Formats: sequence, structure tokens, C-alpha cells
Amino acid sequence: MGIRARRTVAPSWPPLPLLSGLLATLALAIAPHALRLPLWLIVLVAAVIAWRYLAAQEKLPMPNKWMLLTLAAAATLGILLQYHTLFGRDAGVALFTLMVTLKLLELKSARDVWLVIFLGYFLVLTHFLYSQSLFLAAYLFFITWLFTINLIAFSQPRAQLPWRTQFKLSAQLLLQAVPVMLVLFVLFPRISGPLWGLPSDAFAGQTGLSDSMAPGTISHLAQSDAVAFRVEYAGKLPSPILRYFRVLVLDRFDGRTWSAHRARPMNDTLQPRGEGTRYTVTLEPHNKPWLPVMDFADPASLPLGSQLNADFSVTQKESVQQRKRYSATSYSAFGGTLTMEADDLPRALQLPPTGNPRARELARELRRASRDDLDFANKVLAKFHNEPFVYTLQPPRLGSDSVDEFLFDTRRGFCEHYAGSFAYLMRAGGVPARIVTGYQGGEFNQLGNYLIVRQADAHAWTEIWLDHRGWVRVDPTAAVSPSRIEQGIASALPAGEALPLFLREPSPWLKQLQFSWDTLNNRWNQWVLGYDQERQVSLFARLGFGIISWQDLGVYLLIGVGSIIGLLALFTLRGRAEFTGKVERAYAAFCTRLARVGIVRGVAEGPLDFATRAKTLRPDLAPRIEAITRLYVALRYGAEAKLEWVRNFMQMVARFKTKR
Amino acid sequence: MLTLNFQRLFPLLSKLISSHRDSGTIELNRKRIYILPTRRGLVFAVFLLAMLLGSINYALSLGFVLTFLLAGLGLVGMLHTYRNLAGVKMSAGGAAPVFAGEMAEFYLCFDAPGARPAIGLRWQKQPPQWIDLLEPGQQCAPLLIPATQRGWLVPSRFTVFTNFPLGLFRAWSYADFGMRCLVYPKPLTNPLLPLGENADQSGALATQQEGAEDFSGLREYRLGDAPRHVAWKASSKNEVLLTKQFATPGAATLWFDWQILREPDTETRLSLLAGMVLEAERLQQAYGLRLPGKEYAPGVGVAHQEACLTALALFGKADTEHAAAKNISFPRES
Repeated sequence: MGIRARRTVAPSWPPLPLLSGLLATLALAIAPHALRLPLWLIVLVAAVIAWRYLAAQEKLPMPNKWMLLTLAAAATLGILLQYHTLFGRDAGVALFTLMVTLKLLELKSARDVWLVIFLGYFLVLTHFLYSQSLFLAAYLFFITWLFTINLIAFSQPRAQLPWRTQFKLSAQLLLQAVPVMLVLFVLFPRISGPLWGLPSDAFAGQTGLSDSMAPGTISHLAQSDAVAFRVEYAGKLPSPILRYFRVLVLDRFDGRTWSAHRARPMNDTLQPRGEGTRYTVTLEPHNKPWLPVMDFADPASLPLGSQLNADFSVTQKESVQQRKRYSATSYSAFGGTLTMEADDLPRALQLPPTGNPRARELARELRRASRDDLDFANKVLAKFHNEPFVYTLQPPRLGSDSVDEFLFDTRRGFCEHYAGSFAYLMRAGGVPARIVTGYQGGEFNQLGNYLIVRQADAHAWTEIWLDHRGWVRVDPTAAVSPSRIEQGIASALPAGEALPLFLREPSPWLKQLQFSWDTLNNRWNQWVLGYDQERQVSLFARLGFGIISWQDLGVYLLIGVGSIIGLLALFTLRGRAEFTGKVERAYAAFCTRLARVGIVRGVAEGPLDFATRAKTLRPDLAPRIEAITRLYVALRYGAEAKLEWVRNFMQMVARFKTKR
Repeated sequence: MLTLNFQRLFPLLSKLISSHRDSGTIELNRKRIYILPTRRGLVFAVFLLAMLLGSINYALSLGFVLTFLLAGLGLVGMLHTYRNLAGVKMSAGGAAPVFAGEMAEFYLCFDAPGARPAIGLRWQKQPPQWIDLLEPGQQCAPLLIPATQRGWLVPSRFTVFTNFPLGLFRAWSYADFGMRCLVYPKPLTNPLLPLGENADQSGALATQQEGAEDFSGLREYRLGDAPRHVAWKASSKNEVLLTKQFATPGAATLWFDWQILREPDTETRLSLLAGMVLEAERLQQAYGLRLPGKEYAPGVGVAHQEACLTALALFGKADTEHAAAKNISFPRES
């Protein structure tokens, strides 16, 4: 029981078991970045960690200051060359990971160690810049637990508690921190919008429709099972053929690519026809300003800050960089005076002056043979339907006269090929036409009662202008492959075609599992990830607080955290006599067990008297009663006690059975 | 690592606390325990702030979750740090006399209500000493304080503190049991005054032959007896410790006289005398000590040595021998 002076920082510091723990924790914390960082950096990070470990075993020397500086400078240069910047999300994360790792080669004092641990906590945060999925969250919570164990381990200047105790203590501390976290999470005032400019790559890598369409763009997107958005319907789920989600209208064609003009707001007065469908969309971030809505959205129902354009697409000012939730009401048609503005008509008829001669010829021919514009459209659709056109995810590549090649040679295409060539033929035949891109169909999750629309459901269709009717939707894909519209993409593709894994029809229980998982994810998105200013305000409004200000939130926050800490203090500081408490509780359990067989300890009966009485009543248990009572008396009234005795006592009581 | 200097922050309060003297057993409780974040805790708070700003800027919901979880961890850590001291009972044992230049060992006894690891003891600017209270019942350990000067070493207030479990907060308490330790002068040997088997009668020492030392018997161990006089073999057969006693008949009697020493400096003289006492005792030769106004009749043995060294330790100091005797007690083996 001696006391030693404070440990001096020797070269062999930190001790190998502690260091190994820290290195392992850091390696696990960096691991999820492995796929994002350049390979050379991953190798370097692994090498530095291995080096530090071998140095601790004295198999390798520690690098001196100059080596360390050179290494840091070289690696920084490498990052600069790799990313062409040191700022921004990706380069920043790479640099941060590098610096935390290099700090390992410079652990001189306890201060360096806890700095590494704090940097480790920060490292955990950087993962959330890329993903906030449930899995990653669970993994990173585990990493946080490990870092906390390290913090505890390095806070004991002398002997270490057994590892199991430290593991338990770390878990206990984190679990006790959870209520505080919950209160802070719910009550901490959220603000909308960033505090400072975000790096340009902050939201890179988000998939979604682009603002143009060329052969191949949508079929490429259709390979992705990423969720585009989820829709909850207030009423009945509309049938698949009504589930057209409009994103963009493209009316400019350069011979290969369809693109959009700047959208202008809807000026016409609209009178909805029929019954409206009310729904709420939870849109995954796609870093573009548009909001998918079902055809055709009522401008009065749209969320604040968004705008209905003349082409019935909906946009907002900023790009959608966080998951966004909004409600809208859509009607299958609108009456009223839909007008074409002066420059709309030439736009809707515009074609490049040259190219695709065979398609132009075909259009002229068919138009001549048609009664009117509608008949013309039907003739083209009939051609798609009757001739051997194939709907496929893997269309052949097309050359410069893409429409000609598709219509007369390859005849294999995805929705963008059909929509693109249909619109081309219409325009060439003098009928105003345009492309609409968006999503169609989706999969209903009965478990969560919402529709999942994936990137794979991306679709392109067309609209033609008919006098007295306005813009009319024509989906040429339906002419080729009606099942794409009615049953989704998986059923529409030819039998021989290799489907992406997620599109294959899984077994029912697997489907069920998928739905459960998606439901869980949806709740996670809605309530954890989607908890923003809007949700916070509406939550408190629903709880009857009215419109809550951040000052109110601040007050509630202090009260909430204060009372939780107060409760925890009561809880942890109550029963201060842990050793005695344990002994007393065990003895009480012993008495309860005897009471159950009719041997009740009297209020004023001493333990020894009680034991004597119990022994005569149950001679078969006499040796055990004797042993337990002796140890109890020694622990409670003896001058000396050992932790081991307490443990033995608890074990003896646990094994004490009164059954005959 | 105590960075927030309490004494500097609250001088008046600090003074009030330091003037308080504890007696008997104290229990560390709400009234005695102070708690403040450590520098590490402040750095942690800065990290949390950075994480919060990052989470706000990038609208990272899980960033908020992590930041708030760690904030909760810090607060919960504060409770646990406080708890690590709370309920610990503390009392003072004694301190055996030491020579100047040695470490005085002030025995402190703790009784923890549960496992209380990593408790630090700190006296003034000395590096802290650590004790882990993991067992029920009393545990004693010495607080080591360097004894620099002869006389009474009164450490008065010392600090008992803990950073466990996270090191983000420090809980501490002050205790002053009025402990003191007698510090003998640092013994010096004088090459001019060789003391040996055949010590000749050189000027400084009046030697009187009284015969060889003689083992005269055993008596019960008394606190303060030199361990080398303990009759270990005989004690093992008995319930109590026994000390060997020596008669000093016939051996040459040495007189250590303050006046005869030529060194002008008081401290050096005292050190030389202490060295002589030790040497004579080692040789089991009877010796007497003459100090201005005081004389110790020749003798040999632990009690005599102790009396002589105490006189040297307290020479010229206000305190009396009598008071000293009461305070010298050796703690029981822990």
C-alpha cells in the first residue's frame, strides 16, 4: 500500500497495453474513411500506426523531430496534389486524418494522449459529413465508447483498474449521458442555413436527376437503388399509372441533349378538377433546387419558399442539401385558361436545323397521313408498339444522329430514348412537344404505409400541346412496355437481361425484411436526421407551447439539463456506502429466502440468534447458514474487511437455496 | 496539473479554510469538496464547441447527437469525480522522527465507502502521490514530505484530490490534522573526531572507559525503539514485539560537548553532535551530551538516543521536549 511519486514520462511511455488500446481505437475510428481516402494515405496511416506500435516494443526507433516534419510536409503536399486544395470536405478530412495519425509519433506526455483522444472524438464527427445511416451511427457510438475507455484508462496515474471494470464504467458514463443528450438534442435551438460558406464539395456525390437528358443519363441512374424520396399519402394510394412525379421540363434540344430553359412562375389562374390527393414528400438531398411533386400540384398547397412554375415543376431558391419534408396537394387535371406565352410556342417547336434526316422524313410522312395532331401522336405510338422496339437498361451507344439511329437501326432503348425520339418526331411534324423528367411508380411499403421512390424509378415522358386541351401527357414508354408503368421497372425489362441485384424479385420474407429496414430508416430520417428548425417549432407547437422562441428553448434547456443532472446526482450519490450496501442487500436476500420457507427474522433479532434458530429449523442448511452468518458478522462488525470477502459473501448468498 | 489556483482566486476563503484545523476523523462531504474543471476539461469544452459549430454549419443531426452525448459525458463525469471523493473518511496517524534531508512519512488512514481509485495527495508544490482505495475497511499510506530543517515539521494543510474517471474535472478537499514530525539535525561525521573501537582521548571528547556493552535482557517493544534492536526471533515466539536491552557497564563513556566543538555555526555543531550520537549508538558505547544549559547523563539505548537527538533537534527552538514526546507515535503496520 505504498504511494509512489507521479510517474515520470519515460521513453517507454505510454505503457504498451494502454498504447495498444489507443492505436486500435484510432484505427477503428479511421476505418470508415478507408474507402474515401486515397490509397497511399491509407497505407501511410496504417504504417504510422504500425510504426508506433513497434516503437513501443522497441523494435523500431521513434522518428526524430526532423523526420516527423518531413513526413508531415510530404504527406500534406501529397494531399494538395491529390485534391488540388487543402480545404473543402474531402481534402480537409484527409488532412485531419493525417495529422491525428502523425500525432501518435509524438506522444510525449499525458497531454498529448488526451489531445489525441479529443481529436478522435472529432474524427468520429467527420464521418457524418458522408453518411448518417443507422449502421454507421451504431458503429460510431461503439467507437465513442472505446475512446471513452481510453480516456478513463489514461486518467489513472497509478495501477489500472481491471479492463472489465473500465469497459463497464465507460458504458455506464455514456448511458448516463444519454438523457442529457436527448434533452439537448430536442431543446437546443436549431437555426436554418449554414453559419459560414460551405466548401463546394460539401454535398458532392449525391445522386439524382440532372438538369439535362441525353441517351444514357436515366438508364444510368436506374442502376441505383438509392432512395430518391418517400411519399406518405393522406388518403388512398393512387394507382401506379397516376404516380407521375414531375421534376423538370426540358424543351431545348441540341441534336443530342435535352435541356431546360429558365423556368418562369405560373401566372395562369387554375381551377382544380376532380378530387385532390394530399401527400407529404420526404426528399433525400440531391443538391439541386427542385422538389418532385405528383402531377399536377396545386400552387396553394405548396410549402413556403417554393414556387410552381408555368410548366408545373416546383423549385425553391436553394439547393436541397438536407433531407427535406414538404406537403402538397395534386389534382389529375386543372381547368381554366392555360395559355402559351409568345415565346413558348417557337421553343416547343425548336429543332436543330440539320441532322436526323430519316426521322424528319418519317414525321412529315406520318403527319400527312393523320387527321389531326392527336392522331399523329397515336400513329407514332402505334409504330413504337407494333414494330420490334425493345425496352432495355443496356441500350447500345448512339452516334451523332441519335434519333435516326435509335428509330431505324438499334431500336433498343430506355425511357429517355423513347421520350426523346417521340418529342423529336412531334416537333418535326409541327406539334409543340417537350420532355418531362421525374419519377414514376415507386414501391409501397405496407409496414410503414408510405411509397418508396428510388433513383431506379427515374423516368422521362413527353407532353404535347393540343389546341383547346393544353399540354397533354404522352408516355411513349407505355406504348413499348406497358408493364413499366403499371408494375415497375423490374417487370418491364426483358427476361434475359441481367437486373441490378436490388431489382430482382426477392423472396417474400426478404421483401418483408427490406420493408422493415426501410421503415426503420424512414423513422430515423424523419425524427433524428430530419430534426431541424421546422420540426422543432412544429413539435413544440403540437405540444401546446405555441410558436417557441430560442430564448424559451434556452430556458427549458437549462431547466431540463439541470434537473437531469440533479436526478443523476441523487442516483449516484445516494447509497454512498457501496461496500456495506452490497453486503446488506445480499444479507436481506438471504433473509428473504429463509422467510419464504417460513423462517422469518424477528424485528429485533440479531443475526447470530436468527442463525441459531434457523439452523434448528433447517438442520440440512445449517453449515451454509453458519458460514453466511459468520462472514456477514465479520463484514459488518469486524475491524477488517477485504473486497474479496464481499464478493465471496455475495456468491455464497447467490448459491444459497432453501429447496430440499 | 491543478491549473486553477484556488488560493489565488479566492484568497480570503482560502485563508478561512487553511486556518481550520481538523481533529480525529473527517468525512469528505458536500461542505468540504470543491470541484472545478481541469485544463483538460476546458480544452474538451473547446472541442465540443468546435464540434457544435461544425454540426450547425453542416446541419449534421448526428453531429448534434455526438456533441450533446459528449457534453452529457462531461457533466456525468463531473458527478463521478465528485463521488470519487465523497464519503471517504480520513484520519491522521503519526509520523516517526526523521533526519533532515530525509522524507517525513505522515501516515494517513482512509476508509472508503466503495471503490475509489486514483486519489491524489498533494502537499504544497510537491508532486502528488496516489493511492487507490479499492478495499473496504481502513487503508493507510504515508504522505511523503521532504524534511529540510531540524525541528518540528508541521505540514499543516494538504490537499486530497481526484480527477478520476475522465480527468475533465478535479474534485479536491483540504485537510489539516495538525500533524507534525520531529526532524533531527542532519547527522554529520567529523573526520577529526574518529569514533572507533579504540577511540583515543583526543581533545574534543572526554572518554571514560566503563567496560564493554552487554546484552542484559528483553523488554516489551515501545514505540520509538530502533528496528535493529527488535529481537525478531524472540518476538516470533511471543504475541508481542520484544526489544533487546543492553547494559552499558564498564565501557568507555563519551561526552559530546557543545562547547568543545570549534565550528562557529550552530547548525553544523548540532549536525556533528547528531552524527556522534548515531556513531556511539552504533558502537553501543555509552555517551553523554552537554548542551548549553542542558546535560544528558551518559547512557546508551534507544530511549537515550532519542532524548539526545530530540534535544539536538529542538535546540534553540521554543518547543519543549515534553510536548514532543507526546506526539511521537508510530502507526500500526497497515
